[in-house]
Amino acid sequence: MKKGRADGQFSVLIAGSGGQGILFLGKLIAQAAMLEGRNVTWFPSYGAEIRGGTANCTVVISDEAIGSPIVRNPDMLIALNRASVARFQGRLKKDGLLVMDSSLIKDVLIGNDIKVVRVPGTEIAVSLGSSKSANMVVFGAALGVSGFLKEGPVMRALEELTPVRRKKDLDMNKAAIKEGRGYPG
Amino acid sequence: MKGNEAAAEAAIHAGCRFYAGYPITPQNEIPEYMSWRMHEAGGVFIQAESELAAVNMVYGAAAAGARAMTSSSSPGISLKQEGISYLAGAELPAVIVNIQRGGPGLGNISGSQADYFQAVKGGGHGDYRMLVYAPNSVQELWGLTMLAFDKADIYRTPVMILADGILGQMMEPLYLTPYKRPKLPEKSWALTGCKGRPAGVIKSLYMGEGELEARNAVLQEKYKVLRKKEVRFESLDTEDAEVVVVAFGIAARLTISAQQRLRKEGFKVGLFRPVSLFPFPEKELSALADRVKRFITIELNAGQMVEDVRLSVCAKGAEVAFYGRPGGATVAPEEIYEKIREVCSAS
Repeated sequence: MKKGRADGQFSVLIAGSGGQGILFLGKLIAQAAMLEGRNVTWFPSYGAEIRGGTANCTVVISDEAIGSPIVRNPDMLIALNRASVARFQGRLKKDGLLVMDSSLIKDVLIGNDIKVVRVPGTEIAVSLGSSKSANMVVFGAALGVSGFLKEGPVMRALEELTPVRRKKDLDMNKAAIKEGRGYPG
Repeated sequence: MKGNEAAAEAAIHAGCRFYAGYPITPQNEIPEYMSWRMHEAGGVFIQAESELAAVNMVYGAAAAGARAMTSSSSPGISLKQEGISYLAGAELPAVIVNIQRGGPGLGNISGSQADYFQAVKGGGHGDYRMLVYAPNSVQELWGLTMLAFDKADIYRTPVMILADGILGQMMEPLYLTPYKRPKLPEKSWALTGCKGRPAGVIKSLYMGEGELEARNAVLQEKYKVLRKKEVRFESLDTEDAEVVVVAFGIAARLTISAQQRLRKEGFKVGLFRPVSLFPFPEKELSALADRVKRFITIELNAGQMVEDVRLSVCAKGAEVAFYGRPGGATVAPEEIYEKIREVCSAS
């Protein structure tokens, strides 16, 4: 997979269970892209979502005006549970990138026309202090492999989206992104 | 900002100080936002006991001269129809936001455009019309909501913002452009207490001989002015187009991706997007049909606006194809691309 901006438009589908920070990760990506001065749309699955249910959102980043915020074939899939891999991997573009939390997703068949990055997000997050940061570890790995966003704006976006009283979470999430970024080497 | 939040904040910017609503997905962020923001702005927020109560509270607030708004989604908007008809009959300015979902009945919560007929052709009883705006981005939802309040005051009419679940739920960057209040007519009709002046009456009941017909004549005259002065649309690459796609709101947004791709592939495809659905840009479409003979209408419904497109262009010998998916479906840009391509290749 080519690093950085492919054809001017980049789309990522983030999927997992409710409570894993799926929508928040999408907002973080959208905010960082906005800080880079690019066009961006964020579209969530919504409605009868409950903790433990499924959640997903799609972020489209582009240098041009964005038409549809809905994308059938995304460039990247960030998956935080097994069901999401099963449900969405077939929708990835040919040679698209699947980044998944291998602490939670094991024994899953992956098609041979996509690239996969397995990162033990939950294990790494626990070692940093809380499994809640697993989404950030996996996101960090995605950044490390594809470089679709710059680190500076990502960190700034994270600061903007985290309430001041959650300073501890902010530090942990920053560390988680850095750790994930370094993981695939 | 989410589309729903943008609509709510735009209303506050425009001086809306009364909001009443009743919860329904996918528009819940509007009342949620209003519940704290209206309080901060010094206005009144009410979670009403029903949709009908909410729209009638808006009737009362508007009669007292306030800028008032209610919002809901399709089934809830159906429940408000009686109140909307009364607002039109009593010539009260109000803004109604419909973040459409799939129908009929309770349907489901995914975005849809199946309330076009309801919004544009009446919805409630009686010979009335209202201004209907269909935004296709969060930025436009922001701008049109502010504009809706001005037009409502100028014409003393309810104005509907007809958006959908996709636009309501999506987030994209938004410039918080300031609200510039135009010169507006004095609300001398408002019921503000009659100390020192004759008592006013706001009503839609006219039982006297010839009274109702005279009232209707006044309304029809107003709709004539709206048709003449308030048409809004946008066209993209139509100058040299051989095929023109007609789509409104989110369907137009979904279409842009396909249209741009077809352009790159050498197909001369343009996009015509009605922004005001009433008044419908029939003259402009008709003029376009002097040259363009092939149209395709794309909607997230089983075919509603296409009837107005056909009325506008068929007399000029143009053909109008239709592609739509009814409530419950999500349409991918790829599918729209294929349908437009079929029309392009059919020559």
